[in-house]
Amino acid sequence: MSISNSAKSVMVSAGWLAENLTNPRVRLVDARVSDPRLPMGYRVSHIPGAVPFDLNNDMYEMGPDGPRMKSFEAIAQVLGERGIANDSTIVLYDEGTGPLSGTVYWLFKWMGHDDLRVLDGGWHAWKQADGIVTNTTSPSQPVTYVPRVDENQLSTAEWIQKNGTREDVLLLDTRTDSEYYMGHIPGAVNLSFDRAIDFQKQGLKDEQVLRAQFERVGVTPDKQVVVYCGSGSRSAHTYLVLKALGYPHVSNYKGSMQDWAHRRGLPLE
Amino acid sequence: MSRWTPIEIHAPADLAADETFDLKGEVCPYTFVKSKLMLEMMESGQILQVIVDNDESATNVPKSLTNEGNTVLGNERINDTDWMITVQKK
Repeated sequence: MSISNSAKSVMVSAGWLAENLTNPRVRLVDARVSDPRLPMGYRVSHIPGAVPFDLNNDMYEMGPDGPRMKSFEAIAQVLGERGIANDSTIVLYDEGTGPLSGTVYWLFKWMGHDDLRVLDGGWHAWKQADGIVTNTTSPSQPVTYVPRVDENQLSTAEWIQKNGTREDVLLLDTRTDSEYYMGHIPGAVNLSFDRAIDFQKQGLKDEQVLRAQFERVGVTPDKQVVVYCGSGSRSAHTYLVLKALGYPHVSNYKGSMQDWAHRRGLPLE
Repeated sequence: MSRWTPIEIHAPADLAADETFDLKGEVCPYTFVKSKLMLEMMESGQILQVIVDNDESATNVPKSLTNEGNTVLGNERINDTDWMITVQKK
């Protein structure tokens, strides 16, 4: 059974999007790669009405020690300038259903956005369905977006140190098995983020397959699931999948192993 | 210094790349996603060399490209920070 289109479903199909494209509440966000060396992405063509959201420029800025995350207020200003309001139905898409959608989904959930959907199969699915595309950008009517930060969507090294061994907490390492075996947070189980992806259809696997995969490593609805990877991007994809499946208590460890491994005295298994 | 190390694979010395893609300064997930998109523009059997400058990408990009059916021919440290991943498109 497809994971898309049930009531209040996180994942929506290309057919659902086509039917809702002109709904004024729907704001489409294009999270695909933007790189002048690649002849693709938002500037080449996009789904009509979409606005771009580029993680490199819209979520991060250059600081003295490299890229750092912008303030929620700065990100909210970007959303408002692009016509996204707190009560908008945001539909995200990337190239397929990949880690870019996952990262933006987690960021917007962290900012407290309620009605947030993801196009299952992304741009690939839209093209397969012969969805209309354009290279014309319509000006957005600016609105005010107010971040309502929900810290329950975030996990930290401090929280994991204090709570990671609790029976109702499950640490889920979403890196490859080889990365996991080289060293992971004690007690963590492993399921690589891309095990959720059906590479043939470029979308998520069927719901039963996904549930079975997660249940095999101990994910249950009563658990507080903390996902992590190398930096918090691949795990954001798993965060998205778990949210789409309806697991209520999921948080993403921003910084993940880059943060954990660089802190003095934290254990590795 | 991170506490995990990518697995080094030496590509054949006489290998000629059809495309080289410099992804230094890029982080996960862009390194994987951009490598995949570049491969999509290439022909089956062609060889792409990707340069990354962080251990996380040098570990997960080869694995993810393999999962997509491509063949990783090399994953070599070329200086203190940079890795060259050599992959043949499926």
